[in-house]
Amino acid sequence: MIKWLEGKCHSIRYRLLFAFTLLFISVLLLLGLFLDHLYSVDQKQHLQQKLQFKASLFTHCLSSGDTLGIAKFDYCVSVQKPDGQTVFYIYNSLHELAWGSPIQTTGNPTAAVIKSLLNLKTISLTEFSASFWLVSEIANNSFLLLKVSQNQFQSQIDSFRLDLFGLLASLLGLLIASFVYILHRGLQPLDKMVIAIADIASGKSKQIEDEYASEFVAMRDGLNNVLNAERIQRERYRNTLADLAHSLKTPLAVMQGAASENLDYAAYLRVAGDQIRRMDQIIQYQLTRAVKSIGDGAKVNIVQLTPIIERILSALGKVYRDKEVKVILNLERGIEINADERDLMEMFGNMLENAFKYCRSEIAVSVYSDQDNVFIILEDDGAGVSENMRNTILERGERADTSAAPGQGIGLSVSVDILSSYNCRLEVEDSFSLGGAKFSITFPLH
Amino acid sequence: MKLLVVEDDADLRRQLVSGLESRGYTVEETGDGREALYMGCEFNYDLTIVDLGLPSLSGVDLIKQWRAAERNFPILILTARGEWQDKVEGLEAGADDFLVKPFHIEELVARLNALLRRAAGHAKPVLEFGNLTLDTIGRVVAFGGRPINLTSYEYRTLEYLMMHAGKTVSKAELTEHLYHQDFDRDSNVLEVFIRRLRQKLDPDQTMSPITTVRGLGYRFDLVRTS
Repeated sequence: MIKWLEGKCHSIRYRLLFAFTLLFISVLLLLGLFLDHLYSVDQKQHLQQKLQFKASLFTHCLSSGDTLGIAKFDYCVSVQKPDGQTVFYIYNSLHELAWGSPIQTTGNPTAAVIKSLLNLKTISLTEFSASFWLVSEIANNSFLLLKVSQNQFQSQIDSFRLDLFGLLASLLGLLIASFVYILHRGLQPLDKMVIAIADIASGKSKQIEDEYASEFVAMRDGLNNVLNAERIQRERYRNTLADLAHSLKTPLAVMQGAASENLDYAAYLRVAGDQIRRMDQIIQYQLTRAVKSIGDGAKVNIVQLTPIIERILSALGKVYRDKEVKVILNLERGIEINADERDLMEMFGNMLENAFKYCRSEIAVSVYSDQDNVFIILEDDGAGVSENMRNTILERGERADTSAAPGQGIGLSVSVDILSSYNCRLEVEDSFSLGGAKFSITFPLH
Repeated sequence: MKLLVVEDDADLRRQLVSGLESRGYTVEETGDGREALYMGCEFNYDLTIVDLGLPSLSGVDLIKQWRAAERNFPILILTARGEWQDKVEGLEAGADDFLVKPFHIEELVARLNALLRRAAGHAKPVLEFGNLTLDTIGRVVAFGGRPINLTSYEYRTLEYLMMHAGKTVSKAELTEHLYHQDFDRDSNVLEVFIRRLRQKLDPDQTMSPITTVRGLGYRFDLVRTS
């Protein structure tokens, strides 16, 4: 039972049902108590008016000497039993019984009670000793006390309460039933979505395609975007692993071949070293491709461009301190672009490191924008890039230099990959101002 | 030169230590970031090599804490991931250079030599004092172009003195930077190295490259020409 309750506590449906049932009960209970109070007050007023009328009538009969009238009262008094009928008592100023109904002689209130009742000096109905009392002055220092038993009054109230709370209970039942129905209808899209997600998990469909109420459309589209990004990333990992496996086979084959070539130790070390470096480049390239963001707008953020460039320049300035590279900066401040910060770090890190590596003593970084694009221009005073190398330098894994330092060639290819994933344009030219290479990146803002 | 290698992979650490010791460096090692923090704060090293991916205390935090404790030795970071974000974070924390795994030991030695020279205020790999030259890459000392045959300890002693030319270096400092902590500091082996160096560098006793500052230590007195 407790487990069943704990299980239900985690359900929005049951939580709402429980909360609203409590709310309905509270509201209807308060309403019932309020109506009951109103009815009770109304009944008391009605009784008071009735007794006041009788008191006036009695006074009138008494003053006009209408003994017949009083006799009627007497008659009324005489038939006062059973309880619930009006009984008359007349008291003088000494609070002594001057006149009372002939029959009603026993059970009269004691002198002390009379005194306390008369001291009330009120014309409103007073509850005392299971009866309602009305005090009315009918002559100078003569009071008429009218007494009504509460039993009849209470039976009327009880009857009203029974009707009232019966009605409210029916209303509660109706409200709960209506709420259960509304809840069912309201949560139906979620149930539908759960089924759709289960279908995706079981491979029956690739996306959530059903039509939903407008409140759930954003949720559906968001889930579809995440699923899409996840699918693309999964495919990217799969392709990367496949590429990695295939591309590693060639250097492995070369090493295997070298082992059966009867090479001397130094020559074998050279072949092995070359192939290890090649494999390292392949792994670095494929890993960077695999982990970089999708760049299709699904997972990117708004990032400030110039602080990223400045951080990388500061880091590179430390590494290449001995080279004493002069960096000319022309950065437009406050440019924000839609991109993953890691991608930008990777791209500018690789390209700026190349600039530091291949320059003689000077590089220039310019960043500016118009309404549609951000332009980033990296220039150096190095040897530049020859005409026929400009296209091949951008190819995967190609190297513009012939130096044997490891790790080169990959960086620029990774940068080109990242740039293309953001639909950027990259041009390689000669730098007129510095005389070396000039890399111009056009980054679309929209 | 005394180095500290902080690398959690035992095999790579062993390779690094053996490769560096075979090239004449005094190397101490640890695979734990917290122990490295203690060692770096308590002992004097000429350079530390720190792997970024340490288990108990990350390399970046280790570097930050060293720098916060005003330990100013050069730091070379090693990183397996090679992402620029890691490199920039490491350099911003206070490292001076980085090297991406895998690497050739020669490349590591070239980088740390450059950092050691930079820390001593020498930009070029060859220290020139008139006719006397010391090539920090080839680890060759020559006089008038003629190589002088030095043992590993003699070379280390001379390199340290030349790196700190013009300054008096105490025996304790020399011992601390050239030998392991368990070296017998009371022995007169250092005096023997200095005497041999003097004989080899200045057999005619015309240059007096190394001066004994009584009660304080030794000073390399030739004037730098590059």
